[in-house]
Amino acid sequence: MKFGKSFLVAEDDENDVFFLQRAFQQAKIENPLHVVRDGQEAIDYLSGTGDFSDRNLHPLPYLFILDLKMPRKTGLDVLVWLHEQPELRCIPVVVLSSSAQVRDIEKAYELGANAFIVKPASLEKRVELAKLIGTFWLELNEVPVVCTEGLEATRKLRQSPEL
Amino acid sequence: MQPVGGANGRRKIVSTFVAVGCLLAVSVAVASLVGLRALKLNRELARASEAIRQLEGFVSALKDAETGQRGYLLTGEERYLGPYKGGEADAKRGAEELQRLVSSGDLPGNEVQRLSDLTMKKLAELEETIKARRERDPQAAIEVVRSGRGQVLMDEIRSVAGDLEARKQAEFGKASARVKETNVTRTITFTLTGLVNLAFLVWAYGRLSREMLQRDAAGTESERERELLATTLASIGDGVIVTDAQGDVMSLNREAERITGWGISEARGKKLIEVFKIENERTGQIPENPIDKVLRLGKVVGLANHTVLVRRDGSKVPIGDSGAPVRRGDGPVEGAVLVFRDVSEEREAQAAKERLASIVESADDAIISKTLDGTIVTWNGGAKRIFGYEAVEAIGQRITLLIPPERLDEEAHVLAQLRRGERVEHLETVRLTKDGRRLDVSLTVSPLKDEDGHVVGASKVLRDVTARKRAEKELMEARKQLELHAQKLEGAVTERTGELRATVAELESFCYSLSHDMRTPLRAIQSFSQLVLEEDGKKISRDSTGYLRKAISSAERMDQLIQDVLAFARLSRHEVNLEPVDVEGLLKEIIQERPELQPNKADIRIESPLLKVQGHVASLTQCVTNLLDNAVKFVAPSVKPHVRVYSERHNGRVKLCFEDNGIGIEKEAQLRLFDMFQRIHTGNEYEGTGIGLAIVRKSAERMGGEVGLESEAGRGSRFWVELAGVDS
Repeated sequence: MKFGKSFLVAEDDENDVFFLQRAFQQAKIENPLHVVRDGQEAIDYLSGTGDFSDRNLHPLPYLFILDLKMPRKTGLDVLVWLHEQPELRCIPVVVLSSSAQVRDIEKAYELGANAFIVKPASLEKRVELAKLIGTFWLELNEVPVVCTEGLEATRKLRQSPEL
Repeated sequence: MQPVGGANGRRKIVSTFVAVGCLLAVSVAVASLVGLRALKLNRELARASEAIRQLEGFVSALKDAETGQRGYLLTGEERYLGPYKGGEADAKRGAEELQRLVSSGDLPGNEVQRLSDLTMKKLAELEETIKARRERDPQAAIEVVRSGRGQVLMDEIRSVAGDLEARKQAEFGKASARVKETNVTRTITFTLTGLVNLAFLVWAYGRLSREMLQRDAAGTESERERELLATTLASIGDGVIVTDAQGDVMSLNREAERITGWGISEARGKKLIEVFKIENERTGQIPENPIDKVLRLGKVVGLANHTVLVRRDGSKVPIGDSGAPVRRGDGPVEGAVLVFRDVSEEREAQAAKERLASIVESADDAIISKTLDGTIVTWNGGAKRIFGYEAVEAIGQRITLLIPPERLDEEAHVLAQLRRGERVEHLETVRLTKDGRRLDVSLTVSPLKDEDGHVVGASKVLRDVTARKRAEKELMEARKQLELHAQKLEGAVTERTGELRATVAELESFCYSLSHDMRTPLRAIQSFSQLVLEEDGKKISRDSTGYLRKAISSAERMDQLIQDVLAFARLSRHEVNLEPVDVEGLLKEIIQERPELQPNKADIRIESPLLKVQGHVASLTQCVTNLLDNAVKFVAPSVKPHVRVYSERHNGRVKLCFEDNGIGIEKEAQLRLFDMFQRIHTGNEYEGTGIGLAIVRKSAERMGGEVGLESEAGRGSRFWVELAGVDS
């Protein structure tokens, strides 16, 4: 599968995943939505290890939606890890948290998060958010080429011994 | 020394004078006799000489007359008649003189008579010749002369006069020999008497001068003695008053003047009792005057104790005195002498000594003095109390009596130090009591020195510090206990702190989970309820849709509550750094951001310019946001909220006021308004979690400020926040 504009959602709460998927549907955003259930899975997915080694099935996302409060590894742990992966640094990360804890916000930005959004409570607000994400991140936001088509290629190139 | 100026001396002087007087009288008598005789002889000599002179003069006058007569006779010239006439007159006068000498007995009368007769004849003869020469002729005259009658007369005169003269000359010679003899006698007599007198005078002078010298010597000696006596009396340190036998003051010396206040001139002749008023210091009674007693008893008397002298100015001086009679030999009492002195200083010194002694005696500490060989000399009450020995038991004993055997070395050490003149201060040691107890004492030993500075003994001050030692021990024990306790406490505190930290950590994680985990199900409830409403709202009953809506709004409220609690918790936890904050700008931003504060919903008037405050932007934002929210929220239905925001400065602090036209708050409610979870409106009339004002107060307090309100039900409210101002 071609490197397309897919989302990666890291979220342990099934309800939230459900409401998010529903909100995207209602916002008519058809892009594939890959879901991982905790921080470790997210890391595994992004690094393409274990179950996620098949990049056709589990391509690198165009946007990474990250919950903070998760089992095993938290969203902040994922950000710490991600911060150390230069080839992944231009995947935009939108943190979606249940609360606007000041320390969380500061920490998230420090670790390279691109946005910090408190999860909306009502359905309407979720749809609104989904629409905004679609408009902003998928349509308006520009990312370096290396972060789109070139991302995987660069990664591979770097890993090849010729370089 | 012999009695000076006695009868003997006087007799000597008188006898000397008598002797000198007698001698002088004899001398004068002798001199007078000699003198008188000489006088008589001189007179005789003078008369003889006068007679001779008269006789010669008489003859000479006759010769002159004769010479003149001859000249005339020869010449006939008248000029020779002058001498004739002069000679004639002189001869006549001479004859008269001779006659006078006869009457005075110097010349024999008959011879002078004869001489006188002859002279008359001669003069007549001369006259006759001259007459003859003049009337007749010179020859006639010469004839007369040649008759020789004249010659005869003249010769006769000459002879008689010569006889007389010779006789007188012989007399004169005899007299002048006698005068000469007398003169010698006189000279000898005078010389002799003079010499005798001189010798006598010398003797008298010697005798008198000896007497005078003796007298002078005696006089000077007595003068000196008197002066010495007066000086002595004046300079005696004691007052001295001398009276006569009647007790009247005769003299008083300088000290007596000073003490009594009476001057000698005023006091003299006064009754002693006037000058020397005494009384008993304690009873005020007037004792018998010592002088009266002296005069009465005729012997020395002393004065009773505690006698005070009442001075002239009425002040009183304590005195000591004695009186003694004045008498010569065993004679009657002629007067009395009173000797007294001002004893105030002595008395004070005595009193001071007694005070010191009583201080020493009553001191709590044992105060003991000892000789350098360690014999106890004095022993005060404190020593008796501490050691149990009576003074009589202790004095004379060795100081080692008090020293436990194992500490005897210490005494030697102390004594060595004392001999060097050094003190031993606060030596903590142990001493023995009479009943064998050992006492902890603090010992201070000072050397006692005599007037020359030699160390002759020592004073020891011993303080029983047993109680103190015990207290110290107890204190130490207590301190140890305390330390132990403190350690325990510290352990406990550490433990508690740890616990507290754990609790805080738990709280934080609780807050965290509150914000994440607890909100998640709420969102689920809300969202699923909405979902049902959206998808199947038309299939279910109207009541059921109502219930679902209530579930949704409850979840929403719950969510708000959680968020408020978290906000409050954040305020408590987070550090707040103060900085100048532009309140006006901040308010305007807040108003812009919040829909319910927009002009169409609320009329918010800011009285520009608002004063800047020292604050923390986030906390202040929370604070004023809540206040504004409240101001516009609690208004009567259908009333447009009016809010006036203004600032005032009070003593360097700024009061931000929010005045609204809301429903107001009752007095009782105002008290608990700022507490957590206090909602004063029941039901759903006004939404709220009851945390807003708690956040307001907490944030103000975190910024070092205060909050408050003035309100009345139905009349609006005025909330205020007071914070530190910024110096412009």
